Amino acid sequence: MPVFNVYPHGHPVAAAPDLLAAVGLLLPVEINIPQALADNLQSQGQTLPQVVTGGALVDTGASCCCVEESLLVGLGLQPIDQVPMTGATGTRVQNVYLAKLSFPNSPIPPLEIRVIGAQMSASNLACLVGRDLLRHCLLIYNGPMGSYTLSF
Amino acid sequence: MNETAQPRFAEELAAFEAKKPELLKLCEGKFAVFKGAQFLGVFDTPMAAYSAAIAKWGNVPFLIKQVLKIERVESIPALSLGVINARI
Repeated sequence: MPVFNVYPHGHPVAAAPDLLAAVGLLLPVEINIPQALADNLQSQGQTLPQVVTGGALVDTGASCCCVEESLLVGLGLQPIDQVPMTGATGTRVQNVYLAKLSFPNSPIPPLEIRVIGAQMSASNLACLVGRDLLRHCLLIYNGPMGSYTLSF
Repeated sequence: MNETAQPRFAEELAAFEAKKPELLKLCEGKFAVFKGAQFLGVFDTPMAAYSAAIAKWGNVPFLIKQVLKIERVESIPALSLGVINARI
């Protein structure tokens, strides 16, 4: 099981534990269309969309992964379902897509999974990694060290 | 997560609900595919269902629904409460 040790860095002043506490478990993510769709588009001579990159935040409170919906729409993906979601103001319906997620330099292999299309552009995040993906992972949050360990 | 999505798949969901008792007996937990009232089949994974649907219809809207007695409700508190970037 490959192990991925992450030590957030880049802030000249903040200590590692404070930086991890501030930014959380952030991973770079690439969002793309599933291979089946890529094959289909190529067979019709159509141009494939550019991979979208951004930040993914590991969120153990989320039951499933979600992706900023405008990115999914920009890739030309169509919703494949709608799901009810609980919230502070009741239950609402969100679109579900099938997308390919890659986490460069991490042990998580590229995955083609169902993701919820969410409106979270204000957060500058592209993706939340939820427990549907984490169920395959070992995740250790080392607050005193200011690091986390992820293996898949 | 600001607004609820526009309702889609009315025809597909009606077809799914009509077929659901039969599907629950035969293949609970698998993934059923519908486009309009057309039923493509059931598959072990969402990816297999997606591949089959794309091969059949191309990149158009179709429904992939897991065959479950009670649909799971997803919960993403950070989004539903809008607290990803709260200043405290």
